[in-house]
Amino acid sequence: MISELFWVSFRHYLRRVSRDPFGLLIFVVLPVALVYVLSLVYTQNATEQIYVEGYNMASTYIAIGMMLMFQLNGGIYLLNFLNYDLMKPMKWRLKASPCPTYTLVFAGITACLIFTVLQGLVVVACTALFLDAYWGNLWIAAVVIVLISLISQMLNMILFLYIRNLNTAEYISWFLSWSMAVLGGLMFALPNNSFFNFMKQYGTPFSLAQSAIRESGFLGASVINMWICLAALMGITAILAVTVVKLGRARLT
Amino acid sequence: MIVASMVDVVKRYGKLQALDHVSLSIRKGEILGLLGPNGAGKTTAIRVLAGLIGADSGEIMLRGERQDVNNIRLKQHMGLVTQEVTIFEELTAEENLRFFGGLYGVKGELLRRRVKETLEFVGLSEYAKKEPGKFSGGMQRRLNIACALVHSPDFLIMDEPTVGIDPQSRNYILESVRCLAQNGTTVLYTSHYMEEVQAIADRIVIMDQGRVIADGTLEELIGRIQHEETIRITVTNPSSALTESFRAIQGVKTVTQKGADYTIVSGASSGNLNRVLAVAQQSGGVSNMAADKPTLEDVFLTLTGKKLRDGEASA
Repeated sequence: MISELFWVSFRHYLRRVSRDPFGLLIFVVLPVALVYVLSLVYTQNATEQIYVEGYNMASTYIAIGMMLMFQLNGGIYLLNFLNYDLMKPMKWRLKASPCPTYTLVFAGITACLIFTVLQGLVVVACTALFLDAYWGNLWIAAVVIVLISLISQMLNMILFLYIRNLNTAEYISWFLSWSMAVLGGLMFALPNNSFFNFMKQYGTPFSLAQSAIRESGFLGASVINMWICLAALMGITAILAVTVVKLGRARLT
Repeated sequence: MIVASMVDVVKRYGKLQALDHVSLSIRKGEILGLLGPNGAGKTTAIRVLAGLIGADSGEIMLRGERQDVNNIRLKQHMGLVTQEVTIFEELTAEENLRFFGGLYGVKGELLRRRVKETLEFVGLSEYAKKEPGKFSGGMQRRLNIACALVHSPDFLIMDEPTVGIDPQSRNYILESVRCLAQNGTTVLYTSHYMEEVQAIADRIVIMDQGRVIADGTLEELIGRIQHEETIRITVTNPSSALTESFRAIQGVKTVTQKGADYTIVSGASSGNLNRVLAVAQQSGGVSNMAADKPTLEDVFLTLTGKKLRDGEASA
């Protein structure tokens, strides 16, 4: 019965998430457009060689960063669903049904995860095909997108469970992803010291994901670094998942 | 047969006592009207009864089982129409019903049939593929009801289902509720619109400040406050002999004559209307006749000293 309820709820959330035209605009069209514009500007003003082995390094650098930054915000879908379904009057109708709240939440997380992963893959495909961006090993890129999406869903879920205010949680979510992108060196060049170098390579989920993708291809110095980054991302995902389960049990009953 | 009952139920929110030793019961197939002003505790009562929130004390039974927030099995048989419109505006009317039907385990051909029947029942068949964000308030309300009916519950709780809609949609909804009850669905209908409850409820429970202050049929409630029965009659041949004949009727307290108009006051439930008419017809004819009858509004006013609609103190 629970698994049936899960599938009913999963299909429901997938349908809802796919009906949001602004989501597609923000999470697919906007990053691709930003990569296009920024890499065009950078390429035209560059003094060094931009193309390496047929790939545009400006596009590559910007595409990886943009995709990861927007993926880190993918959890906002989930935030909005949880807010409408568990905080607004809809909660009474759903509570009156035989479907347990945790089943709904799990179905919501899964649907949003799949949808945002697909969005991330579309960004990868568009930038690789049309903007000559280099994504290293595409399997590794896909795993990174899944992990970053999962981290985003979990982070937003934790924010929702703690704060219980959609606007505040959304602001914090955007702030966190932008901060991670800044520390990952996406926005501007960071000072060259050990702290910022560490933050840029391993300090945040954004940096770990960025490093894992870069290390998976000819841009990388060592494949071991890639595995370290992936393992760290998995560890963060696991810690966040345990936190979500504990918080959910305490606050969603 | 009792379908649902609350015995001595207490629910507090901090210092506010939302339910103060509330007891009520609902019989199979009846429409129970739960009436009270805003803040009377109606919504809290139905949330406790539906197992959406726990009670601090007291006993809640549904279909012979103890109700609590974790009793998922009991929820299968229950439908809840929420006070606010709770539908998904990004999904079509049909998709909304399919989702809520699916949550109650309805699937396959049965789900398709139930979605079709339910949309027909609420008069939204033509709008099955439309998104409810574009519906009128009345249509959204009807879809809100449909979402609670798609799994064919045998106990339906309706929390002020007609708030803020036009008279036509209201009449449609009230007619639908009557139809459901005729088909065997037990309905708990809360409202602060006295005329709605008066029109559809088999039995009425009146709540105020978290307490049940009256429980009975409309006649019983009116009988409880009615101490006298007043009949106004206009005759074609007024006379002092006729006045005496009226006075001679058993139970008549006073008779006042003003020209051809008589006002006859009897004790409560005297049943003198037919006797007065017979006496008047024997002495000539009757051109007009009326009996003053208290309303539910009068009942509420008498019991609480407040008007029902806005809870204001009576003058």
